[in-house]
Amino acid sequence: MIAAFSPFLALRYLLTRRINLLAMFGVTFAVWAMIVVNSVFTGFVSEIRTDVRRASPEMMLTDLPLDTGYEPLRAALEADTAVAATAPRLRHHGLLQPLRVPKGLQPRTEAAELNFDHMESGFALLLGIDPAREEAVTPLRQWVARSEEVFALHHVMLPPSTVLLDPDPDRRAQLLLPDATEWLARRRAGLAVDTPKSEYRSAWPGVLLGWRRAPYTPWLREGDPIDLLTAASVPTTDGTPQLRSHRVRVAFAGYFATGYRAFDETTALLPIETLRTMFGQDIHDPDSIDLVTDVAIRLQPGLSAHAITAARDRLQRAAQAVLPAGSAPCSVLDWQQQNTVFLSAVATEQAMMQFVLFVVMLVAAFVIYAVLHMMVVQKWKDIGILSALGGTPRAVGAVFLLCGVVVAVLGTALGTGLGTLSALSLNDANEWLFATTGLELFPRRLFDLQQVPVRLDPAWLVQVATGAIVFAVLVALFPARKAARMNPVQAFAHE
Amino acid sequence: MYRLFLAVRYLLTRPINLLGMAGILVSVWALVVVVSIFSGFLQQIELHVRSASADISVHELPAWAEWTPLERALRDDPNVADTARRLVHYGMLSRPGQRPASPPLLGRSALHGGDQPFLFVLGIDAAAEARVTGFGSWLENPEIPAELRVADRTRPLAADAGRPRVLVGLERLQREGLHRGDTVVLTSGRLQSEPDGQKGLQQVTLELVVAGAFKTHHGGFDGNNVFVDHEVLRAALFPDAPDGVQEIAVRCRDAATLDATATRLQRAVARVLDRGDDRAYGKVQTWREKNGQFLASVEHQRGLLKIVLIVIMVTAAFLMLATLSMMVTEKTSDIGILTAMGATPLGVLQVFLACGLTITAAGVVLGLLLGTVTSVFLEEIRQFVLWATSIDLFPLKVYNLDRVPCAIDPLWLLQVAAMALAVGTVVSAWPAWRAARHDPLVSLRGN
Amino acid sequence: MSTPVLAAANVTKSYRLGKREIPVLRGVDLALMPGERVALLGASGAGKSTLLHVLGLLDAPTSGQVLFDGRPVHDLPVAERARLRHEHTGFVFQFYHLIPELTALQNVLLARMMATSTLAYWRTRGAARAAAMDLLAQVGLQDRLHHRPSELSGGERQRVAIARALLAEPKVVLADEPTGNLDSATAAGVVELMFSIQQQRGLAFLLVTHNEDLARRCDRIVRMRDGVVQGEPART
Repeated sequence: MIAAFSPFLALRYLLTRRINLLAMFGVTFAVWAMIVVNSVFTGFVSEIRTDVRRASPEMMLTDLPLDTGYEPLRAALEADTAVAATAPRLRHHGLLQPLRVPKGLQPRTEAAELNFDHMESGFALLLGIDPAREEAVTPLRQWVARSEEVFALHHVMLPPSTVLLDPDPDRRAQLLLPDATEWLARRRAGLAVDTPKSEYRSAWPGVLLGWRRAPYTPWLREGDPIDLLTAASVPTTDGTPQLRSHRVRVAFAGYFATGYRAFDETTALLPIETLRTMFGQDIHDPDSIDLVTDVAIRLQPGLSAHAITAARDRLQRAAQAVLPAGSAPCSVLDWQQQNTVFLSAVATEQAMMQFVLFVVMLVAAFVIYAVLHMMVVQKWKDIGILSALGGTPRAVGAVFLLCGVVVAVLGTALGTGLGTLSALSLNDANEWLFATTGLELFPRRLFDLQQVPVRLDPAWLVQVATGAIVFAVLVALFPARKAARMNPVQAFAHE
Repeated sequence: MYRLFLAVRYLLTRPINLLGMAGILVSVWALVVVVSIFSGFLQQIELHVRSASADISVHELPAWAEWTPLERALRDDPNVADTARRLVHYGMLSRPGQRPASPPLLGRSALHGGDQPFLFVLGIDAAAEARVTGFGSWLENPEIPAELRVADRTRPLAADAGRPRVLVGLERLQREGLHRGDTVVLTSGRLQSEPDGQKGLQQVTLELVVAGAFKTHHGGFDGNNVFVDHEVLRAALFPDAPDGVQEIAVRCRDAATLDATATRLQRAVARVLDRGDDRAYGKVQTWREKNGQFLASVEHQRGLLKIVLIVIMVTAAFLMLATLSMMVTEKTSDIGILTAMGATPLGVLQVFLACGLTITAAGVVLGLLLGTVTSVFLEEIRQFVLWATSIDLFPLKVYNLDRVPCAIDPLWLLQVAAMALAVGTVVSAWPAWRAARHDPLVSLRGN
Repeated sequence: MSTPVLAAANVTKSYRLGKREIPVLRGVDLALMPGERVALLGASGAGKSTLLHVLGLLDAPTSGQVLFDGRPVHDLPVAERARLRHEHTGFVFQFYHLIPELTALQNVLLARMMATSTLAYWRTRGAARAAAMDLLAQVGLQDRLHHRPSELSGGERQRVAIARALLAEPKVVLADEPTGNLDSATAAGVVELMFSIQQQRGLAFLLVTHNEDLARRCDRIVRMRDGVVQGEPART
């Protein structure tokens, strides 16, 4: 039971003491800041996670032994009802060296940079794919289409590559460029062309580069030849492994943009057959292995998280059964497990930010405590009167607790409202500020984003709001307890 | 005198003022600690990069560039102390009879690389390299176990019974289970002009003996590179270019003027390599320029975080404003008495301003102290938390660090202190002004 | 003879001041019969106020008993004591002790809000208001209902305090120098009002005062010195 005087008096105190407004604004400010900062930060993080998600297959079978073929794995995996499609992947590495380098620039045929990201050196993670199958598993076409948007953001007009749209499936599988394009590119590069343009047939397998390479080779045009330098082990007759160097000429087929920075920086997509040939597995050889290092998997839509976990274990067992006996265990990884290192770095930064926000909340709670504490100290006479009139200590404490609750609730409501409003109009404000003063609060270009990614998570709003109120109430308990424990006689004895 | 006296009395008798101080303290503390971590992170990365870099490097040299004239031109510069030439090539390192593994999955590989089988081969002159870069100390890094250390530090790459030697990064060596004296095969290729005018790739295979391990502070560098003797690599790759060079490491006398020196050297290199074809060959960069992008992105993050941290300060300002204005309200009768005793409004203002400033100053001093102490012992705190709750506050491995980074920038401390004091002054000024304007008669008339 | 409505039996009370124990009441016996008007006289520091607080259950005795209708009540749980205080005891203080944020009417109504839950009060607020206004009219403040204490004169404030003390229809009123802070003309008015209401309602009335004239108008005078009651003269 709440005695009637507690809310009554609490309301009177609140209305007559302006200092409570200050406490309320303190809470408002803290809640506002938490919502705005977190919605922007969550926006960034969810943007990053979306990008990583977009760049990664839903599931990936990996950690396969050397010389594993795709076909048996495909059969084993696709037999599972949860699997919608699979695609073969072959990972390797090498240097990409454009042949044609315009005047004034140096070909970097032999030089290498010692850089964190290798990009200047031409180092690339080569990812051999079967485009037709890959499209069924990852949004490959979307990756290519997105490059136009991303370049537009950097004020570069570059239409997306059309190699994936070639009507001929065999040409598509090789990522071949149109004959005329390659013919022209040959001429541009100063290579001998014996056949006339009309009879020329494209021969160079296409390579799709991550868009983040573009700044290092801005002159590259569709069809330009690139030398791919690498070494790969090939089978020998006597069974001893042998490494062989390779130089394969490929044609620049265009850029892709998944949005996942590391992927767009390092990866080059090329036909899986081109890579297999380097490993001595020629498709025309009937004994060749359809070599893979990973199998990308797309699951049926609409599976529950539980079903997905179950499918993961099932697929691992199915794949393991196909592998030669005694092989090291293979793994089936969901998209997050595929990117543990990167995602945990992101999570650390998010934790740091949330720690800062927690401190904000703490200081805001201090404000409520201070104001209530002072009120109790100043109102000791009233507390005595209330006791004399028959107020129980609990009810007397409740007066102050209620003050705290009202301040917290109003402050939180106001802060939540303002926070939501400013988060939603953040992009407009940013644009307006840029237009009028030329100042950019959030340098969007730096993050290759068209907008400041704001993500107002209703769950977070609820969390902040309840968190703020609970915090405030906890803090208000101390002054309230002090009031309840006050000896009423002292109020009169002081006279 | 009464001003200070009263201010101190008021503060000491009212514990609630401690709370205002605590607000400032917490905000200063958070500003110091969080920014220290980020600065430390930045500094650590710089240090890592620095430890593996020459002051200035000349690269992107054309195939026909010759060492002798370039060296002469570089040494003419007053700030150049020493130079060392390098050949930079690529290849795949494997043990004879074994096949190299596939590259690691992108999202699971180290954030800064270094765990690929594919790597760069640096052909160096060990003696010159030791003079120019930290090469000597890379070999003596205390983390290298005795059995993996090079036997002869003065000539680490001297041939072993006719077979050339190779230095491999410590982590790679341990990961692959290699020992000193093991044979490894480096598979690479060189481009060679062929009859049709095209360049063909000719395979180059070098059998090398592991001389030992090296370790810089830069995990990416250690993982991505191996060292062989300059002459060995040159003979294999450019048999007909005895004076060939691809990269030059430069040590400067005065590290403070690297940028100016780099600009001068760029001109010198361009003069030597001028062929009259309007092309500028060679690129001279300081170590910082070479890694500029990554450093800039961390710096930007630190900037964003600073903005967010200011939010704490503003909240603390609310707190102080609340406590101080309540104090003024409570002390109205005192103000009456003071005025009656002859205090001027200015004097009254000063009493309350002094209160606010003392609170702020105490908060700032304690916050700075506590923040500094926390920052310094962050690693110990992390380990304690890890031990007590098994929660890892900071995944060091991800960032290739061996302790939580921390760099306390005195300038930042000053900035924080100045900011907090400014905030404290502003929020003290308002209640103090209100106190000064208070009509003493109102309080003397009593309730 | 009926039981006293409120009684102190061998009540002692001492306060701790640092390490010293300071006795204020040293075994007080006092009985207040229903409808009786008792004056408690004594010098400052004799323990009058403390006795009043102990009798009003605001303060617990160090030893001895406080009996309400013959029932010991001093060691009841705190909420129970608060309820008794509200239902059976009305306080009137020298310094009125009104809550400055509330109007006269609200200050009186506060007494009704003490033991009623918020909901119950909300349902009966009309009746409570009528009762409070009626009481304020009885004390002659029908025109000052919506004034804050700071806008009322001393006498008016004390009348509000009296109305507040009576709203819960207590059996006992404890008044601690109710006129001590008023000029004699105003004091006379307040005293007349208190006595007439006391008689009208048949309240037990314990009046702490310095004023011998006022004391003589009571049924009985009890004198205190140094924490003990100095004999109880017979009723007039």
